[in-house]
Amino acid sequence: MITVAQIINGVVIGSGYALLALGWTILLGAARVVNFAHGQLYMLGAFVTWWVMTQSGAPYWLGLLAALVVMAVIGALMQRILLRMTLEHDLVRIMIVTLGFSYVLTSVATILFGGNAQQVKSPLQGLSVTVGDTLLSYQDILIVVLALVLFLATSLVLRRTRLGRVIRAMAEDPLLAELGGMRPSRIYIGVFAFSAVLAALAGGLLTTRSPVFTTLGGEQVLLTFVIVVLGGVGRVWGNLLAALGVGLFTSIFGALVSPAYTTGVLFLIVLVLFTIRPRGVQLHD
Amino acid sequence: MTAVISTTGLSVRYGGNVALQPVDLEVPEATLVTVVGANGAGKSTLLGGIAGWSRGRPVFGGKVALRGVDITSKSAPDRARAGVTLVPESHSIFYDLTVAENLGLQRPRRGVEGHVFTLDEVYALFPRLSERPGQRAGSLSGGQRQMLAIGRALLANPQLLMLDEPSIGLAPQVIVEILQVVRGLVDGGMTVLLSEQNVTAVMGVSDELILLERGTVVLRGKPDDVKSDHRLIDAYLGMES
Ligand SMILES: Nc1ncnc2c1ncn2[C@@H]1O[C@H](COP(=O)(O)OP(=O)(O)OP(=O)(O)O)[C@@H](O)[C@H]1O
Ligand SMILES: [Mg+2]
Repeated sequence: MITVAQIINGVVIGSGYALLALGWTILLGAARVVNFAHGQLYMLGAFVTWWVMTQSGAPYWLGLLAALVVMAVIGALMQRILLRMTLEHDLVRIMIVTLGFSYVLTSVATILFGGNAQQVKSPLQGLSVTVGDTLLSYQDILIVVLALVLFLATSLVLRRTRLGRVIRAMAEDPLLAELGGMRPSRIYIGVFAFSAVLAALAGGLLTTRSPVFTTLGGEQVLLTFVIVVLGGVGRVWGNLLAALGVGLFTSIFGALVSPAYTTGVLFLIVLVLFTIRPRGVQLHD
Repeated sequence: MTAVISTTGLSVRYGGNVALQPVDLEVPEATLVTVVGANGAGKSTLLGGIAGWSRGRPVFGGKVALRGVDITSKSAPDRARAGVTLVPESHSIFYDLTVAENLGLQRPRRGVEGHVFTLDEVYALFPRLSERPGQRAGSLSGGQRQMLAIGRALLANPQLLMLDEPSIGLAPQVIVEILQVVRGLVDGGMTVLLSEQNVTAVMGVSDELILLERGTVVLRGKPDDVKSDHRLIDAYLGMES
């Protein structure tokens, strides 16, 4: 029996995944950067929020804001290191370096924050509405609404603004863009920072639902990968649908069968899709 | 009067391979200078050297000045912003963007000398573009792509407009049409450096011809003065075959 609670839980989890996937797919579409450290950015978003709150007694929102700022800077630095490889579309070296980043970030986080699981509380968790016989907290509503708003905003920027046109042009041919006076390095750094901020936002929001460890991250990157494959690289709306689908699947399959197999089954679906419908890398909305 | 663009000893090397021997070149205001030469002679390399740009990993030598101001140390985007505009030979527009989006990429530059092109003027110059602003550029015909590339370049308000083999792959009547537009721009005050293999097509419209052979300038002069030169005829026959 599928329950309302499972569906609500699936939509909330899916919205968190959507926030995680949005930055990753835009980064891949715009700069051809496959960021294997994206899950660690999620983990750090949660930990920086927690750390700022416990160190300074700051409220949740301030901790979350601090995490977004810190992760924007770290994201920009990471892209700075990757710049040459990105301009040359050197995919193999990019993957190796971002894989390296993921290990470095995990180690640094463990040194700074310790090996214990941590969790933070949001003031919105105490407030809730009842849907059927299920409690839906304001924090969960916030996650869903934020995901929708950010997807809509991203889609509008890509489609309707000059910045969006420049990002799409850069995705197609950064060297040609240089001849138009555009500077790919700035766009790449901006897009990476945006992607890091979204990962951190997902981490900072979802850590109120379940605790985080510094070793977290690998699973998140794999899930993101699945979502982007299902939704299409750089396809904003496709990714939102895919994320919600994966969220619902995780919630329902986890409840009805076993949470232990969800990731395995998701990858099986991806393998089948790869075989029957291989798709190129393009930036659409 | 200083030339719009001048190079002193401009050279380009790819690893150990010298693609362009040191060249001194001047393109005076409101003239059409055409670089001709066979495949691999170095035409694209010369234009790229002036723009500070290449799809490979070049090593540039010598100096480039824009209206007497040294721009050698500027990057390709900065030279483009200063008014050195290159339309490269292949993939010169963004296929994933529409016609209108391609034309809307350029942020209008302020405080530039000379005529400032508007979108309406570009559409008036190439009416076939104005009929399909929402069409994906990748689905345009070869001639339409070239028109879009030139239109995009004009909106950058170039001091020097460089077109690298705009005739490539186009039907003869389209080549004539595009070269007529280019000549019209020059008559209106634009300064253009063109590269071409099709010598016949450019003879009548160019103010000066520069013949490149294996990275070296072997001949230059007004079309009437060089048209019977055996080197040009040889090169030209070689290109036709
Ligand atoms: N990216 C690159 N890497 C290495 N060598 C290059 C590169 N681009 C050009 N060259 C070399 O530079 C020389 C001149 O090439 P260039 O493209 O300038 O010739 P071209 O006159 O434009 O020829 P075409 O008419 O075929 O366009 C050639 O010997 C070529 O091998
Ligand atoms: Mg060429």
